[in-house]
Amino acid sequence: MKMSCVIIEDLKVAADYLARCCEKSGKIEMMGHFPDVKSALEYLNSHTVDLLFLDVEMPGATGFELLDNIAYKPKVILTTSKEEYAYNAFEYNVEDFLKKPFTYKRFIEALDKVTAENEISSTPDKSNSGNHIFIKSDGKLIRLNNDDILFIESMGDYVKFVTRDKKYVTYNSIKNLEEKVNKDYFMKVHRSYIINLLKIDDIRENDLFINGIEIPISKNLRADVLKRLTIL
Amino acid sequence: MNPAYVHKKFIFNEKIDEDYIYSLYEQDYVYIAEVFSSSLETLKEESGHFTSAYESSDINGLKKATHKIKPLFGFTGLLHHQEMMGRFEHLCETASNTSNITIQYMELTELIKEGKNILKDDCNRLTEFIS
Repeated sequence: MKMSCVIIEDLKVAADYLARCCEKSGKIEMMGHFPDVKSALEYLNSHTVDLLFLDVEMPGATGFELLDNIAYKPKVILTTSKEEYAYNAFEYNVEDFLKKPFTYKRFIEALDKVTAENEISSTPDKSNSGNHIFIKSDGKLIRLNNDDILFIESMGDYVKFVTRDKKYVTYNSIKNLEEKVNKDYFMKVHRSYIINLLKIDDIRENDLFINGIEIPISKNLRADVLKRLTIL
Repeated sequence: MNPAYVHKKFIFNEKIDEDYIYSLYEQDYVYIAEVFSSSLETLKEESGHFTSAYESSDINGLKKATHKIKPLFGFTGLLHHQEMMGRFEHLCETASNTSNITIQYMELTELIKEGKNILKDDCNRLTEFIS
């Protein structure tokens, strides 16, 4: 699957070169180019993308200010002509730091880092029989015990793992997870939800409730859900 | 059918690092011509900002214009020019006002002018080369 990305760069020649590298790689679906942080944020607040190629010094606000204000956490490759930003790049946990101009080979190295991380985040467990999974969130691999997960909700190209205490957003899909989670615990009940069967509090018509949260059940899956429950 | 220039090698201005150019764009001369043309246009615009920032004693504006011009020289293989822009950018970060860096500003103005002339000339020759 291609990664969706945007370029946030005020220098035309740099943005064009980057777009050319993206196209050549065959791994990127380019969603747009923005010459400043304001226009980029307007787009990013209503669209989810996997990857940002982000310049630092731009008119108005800096690339770091964009990262402070974006509502979710896409992967980020910083592109700047100033090496001094490498430290900030580390602090913001970006995937890589490309000093302009960079060669296509160097671009691919950076892209491979992102792709490798995506592959890890798309593999929540090595088998579907374990009692836990690992997910990639906030730049870390986080262990989640099956017992702690209430449900998993789709958010476009991302999913949200909901536990009693926290929510974790990671790059993945319900379709992919359905194959990989432990089926003794989990079941898809709707195109946007996988639930932990052991956490259902009650079922009413075409909805079920977990920890006070209402989750829809697809009409075509309702009978399968009921089959999985011990009904006396 | 391949274009006529495909087996020929373009001779860049001696101040342009051709190995560097080929490492970025291989021998895609059509694209190299586009890069040179686009860089030249931006350079013309930004060198105007560079001059006006200095003349209005706007050290921050001067730093910003320098920062924007610097990679243009990188994308066009003028690596010495790029390096000198980087040094001047650093000077702007530490200088309290523009009068402290007048000599360096004058030198850099000449360097930018030279860079523009080189790009203009090579851009024209490249256009001929690929036509």
